[in-house]
Amino acid sequence: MNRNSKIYTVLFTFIISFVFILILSFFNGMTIQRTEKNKTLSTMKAILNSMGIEYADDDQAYALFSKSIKHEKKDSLDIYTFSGLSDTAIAVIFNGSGLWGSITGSVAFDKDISMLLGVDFISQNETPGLGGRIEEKWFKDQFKNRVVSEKPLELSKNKTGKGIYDSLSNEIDAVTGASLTSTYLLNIINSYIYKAKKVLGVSRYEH
Amino acid sequence: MNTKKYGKILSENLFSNNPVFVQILGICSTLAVTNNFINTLVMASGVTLSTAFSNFTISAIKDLIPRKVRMIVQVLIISFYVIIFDLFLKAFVPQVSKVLGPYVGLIITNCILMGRAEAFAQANPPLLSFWDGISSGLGYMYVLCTIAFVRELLGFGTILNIRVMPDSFLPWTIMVMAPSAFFILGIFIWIVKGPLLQKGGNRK
Repeated sequence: MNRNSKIYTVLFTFIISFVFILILSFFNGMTIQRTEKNKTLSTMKAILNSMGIEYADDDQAYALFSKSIKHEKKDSLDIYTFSGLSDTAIAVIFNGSGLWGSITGSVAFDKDISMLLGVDFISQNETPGLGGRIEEKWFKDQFKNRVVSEKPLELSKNKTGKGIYDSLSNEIDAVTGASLTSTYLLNIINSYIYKAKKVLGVSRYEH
Repeated sequence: MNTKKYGKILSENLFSNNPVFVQILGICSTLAVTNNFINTLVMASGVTLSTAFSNFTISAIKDLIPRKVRMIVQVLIISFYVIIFDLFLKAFVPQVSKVLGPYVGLIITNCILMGRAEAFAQANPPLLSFWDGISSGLGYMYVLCTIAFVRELLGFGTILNIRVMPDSFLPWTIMVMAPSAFFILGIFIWIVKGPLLQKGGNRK
């Protein structure tokens, strides 16, 4: 058959696309379960991290999460509640746009949303090495044990690049070279603090 | 005779015809991923494997491919391997996949793969093409790793994520950002190409 005839070209293109895509979908089918499990696990770990609950490894994280965390959906907010012996922690899944793509993560509070317990990320597409550094521990630790005041969180004017760890302050130190990502992130978190207060019926700021 | 051919391809792809500093291909990823050594290594392995396997496949079926759709088929085969690599990362090393994010998928558009497919695999037997892919990938890898080493050291004060610089060291933010790769690559080309050019001059 003439290799340059129209029929051959069309047939060849069709068959080769079909074969390769078939193999690809087969491979996807083989790995999808694992990938999904990784995703669930990374969400679980992010929620536990944001609540400041420690675990030794993946299996323990999975067991801990399945045992003591309840999930509910209220007004399109994904809310996870941890009930320990003496304390309760509430985590809300946040999602909003960063500089390049959406940033998804978990932000945790105590039961009457008077204190931020922490923040952790599930997915983000910020520039690796710049905005991507919001995943670094020193940055995330700034959100630990912050009193939720009426003033929203804002970026600190004196950039030290070392982090601010004052539980009464509302200032967060930005990632150097990534002020935009930092600003967008704070906006997302502020808006979710507000939403969480509203949905969970903590009304004392509305009087 | 045959080993000589393989050796020649290797030395060409590593030095005299290096995809990065001689052909200046694959610059986008050189700028994007080289601020962290481990990411660079994973990315370069992805490029190496995808180039090798797509070269092999294209060469194996080159006599069946109609000329008109040659490039479409090349891209199809390249994407096939890159997507497999991406799926593999997602399933088995999710942390790395999370950090590299969209860059893995972008290997598809890396000019080295298309360049090798078009310039080499279309005209050579499968095994030789496979070797050409591997050696091009290695040529890409060592240049990127050198750049990543310098950028990570000066930009974060770390090597392989382990802090090596003293606490008083102030990281150079510019090294973390893409433009610094231009400087480092420029210096690299300057150092490496000097002797290469001299050799060429002597031959005349």
